[in-house]
Amino acid sequence: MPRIWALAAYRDVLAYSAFPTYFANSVIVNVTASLITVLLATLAGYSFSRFPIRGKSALMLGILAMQMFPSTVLLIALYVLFRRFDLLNTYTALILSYITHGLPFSVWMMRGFVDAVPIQIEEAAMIDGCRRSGALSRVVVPTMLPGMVAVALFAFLSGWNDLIWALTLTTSPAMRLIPPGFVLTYVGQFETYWNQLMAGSVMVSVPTILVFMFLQRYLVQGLTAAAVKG
Amino acid sequence: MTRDSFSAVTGRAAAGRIAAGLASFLAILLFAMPSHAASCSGMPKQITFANWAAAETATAAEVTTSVAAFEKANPCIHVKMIAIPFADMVSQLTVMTIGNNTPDVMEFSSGMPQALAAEGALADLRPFVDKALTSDIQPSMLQDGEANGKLVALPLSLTPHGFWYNKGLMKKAGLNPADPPKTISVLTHDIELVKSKEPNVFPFAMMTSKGAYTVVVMWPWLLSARSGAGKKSHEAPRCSRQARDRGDHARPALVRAPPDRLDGLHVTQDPDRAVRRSRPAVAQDLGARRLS
Repeated sequence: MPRIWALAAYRDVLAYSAFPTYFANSVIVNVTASLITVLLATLAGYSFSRFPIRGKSALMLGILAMQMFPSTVLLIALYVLFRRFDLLNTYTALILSYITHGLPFSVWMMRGFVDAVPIQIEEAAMIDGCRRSGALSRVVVPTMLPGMVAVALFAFLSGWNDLIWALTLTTSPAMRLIPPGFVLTYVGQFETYWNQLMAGSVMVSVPTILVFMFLQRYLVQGLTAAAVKG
Repeated sequence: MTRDSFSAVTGRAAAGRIAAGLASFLAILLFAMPSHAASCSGMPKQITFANWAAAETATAAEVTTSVAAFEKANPCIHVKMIAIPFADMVSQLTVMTIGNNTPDVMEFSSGMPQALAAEGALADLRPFVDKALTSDIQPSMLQDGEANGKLVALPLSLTPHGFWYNKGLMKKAGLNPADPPKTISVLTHDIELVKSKEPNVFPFAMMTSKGAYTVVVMWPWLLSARSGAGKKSHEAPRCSRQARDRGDHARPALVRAPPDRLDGLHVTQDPDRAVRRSRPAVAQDLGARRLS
């Protein structure tokens, strides 16, 4: 137990570091990336589930294989690509990289959720006058909302905790996200500022804890639905 | 005195750019701050400087001030700082090099120049460096900045290493805090005295958390000091390159060394573990400040 209880480290983090900037950057990048990931994964999962696609199994395996590459392998390729398009030090680069990282697994999850929705419900909606897009948005999406929340949380957390991508794709202090910002500020060559590092970690954990508290029901439902089909 | 940091220049920049950047940069850091400011007619040329010092609390102010003074003295050059954590320096610079985006000037520590030179990222500095500068640097320090026969890095600073001592503890053991040990034999005697009076105290602690750094700097010093080598202040004991290459194996071997070699300094077990289990009597930085 600490010998002295104090809030000085929290004050240091808030008042004397660029924590608010790091926090804002992390929220902007990860919320955007997770929303786009969910949107793309839903459409891809729906397509793989409902449409007869030639070589569907091979495509799904290919998507799964992409998830198996170590992120450092993709990192160098994406760094070269983003530099060529002058995207380094931008939100766009970070958002695209997190989508790239999270999308394969998300597509697999969403395909499982769509598979679990009986096609007859969708057909009934179309008999009642819905187009396919209407059936998707008004019938399928509300049914698999818990799954979408689970995918969004997965995408959000994988980006929120990432160090290596955020560190490599940004060099400007104004663009840093929380993990590289903390490492740069508090982990030095000879000294680690544990007090501030731990205080910052607590503050960083609060949003994720709140999100889990409010969305826990959806998350459990979503993960269970993906695991048990039919 | 031990060489701790280097500056190095990328191989991709044009020769003129390198010469201007390096000569001016070293001039500002190694010699004196120019007292007058020049003016620039066109747009300032930007050079990128990758380092960890500008991001760390302990060194940020000094580096920022130095760079600002440099820019004032060289208005045609704008320095763009790229902060990279110390532990990620080599990996990040490697990615940047592969991406053809190597910084113009980089801060290095031991072993880093050779790693980056192997990637072809560093230029040979010899054509651009004044002989007056190189002749003022110890040959062994210059050697540490060499790779494949090229001089790819120059010492940026000299870092003296010293002891932090706990005055309260010394007083408790009957020692005079105003007269701390100045020789190894007195240090050994005082440590033994503290140990006899305070058996639960570790009277001596040294940094062991940064493996390679410790092997290069701390352990050779300790062993040389124990064996009586390096008596002159300018003959700081150093590890040979071969020894540094063997570094990973050297440390555990030293920790397991028989008591007769290290017992006088009470380093009979891994100091990291010892310090974790018990409050250290003397520790680096934070611990020393807290205890004094």
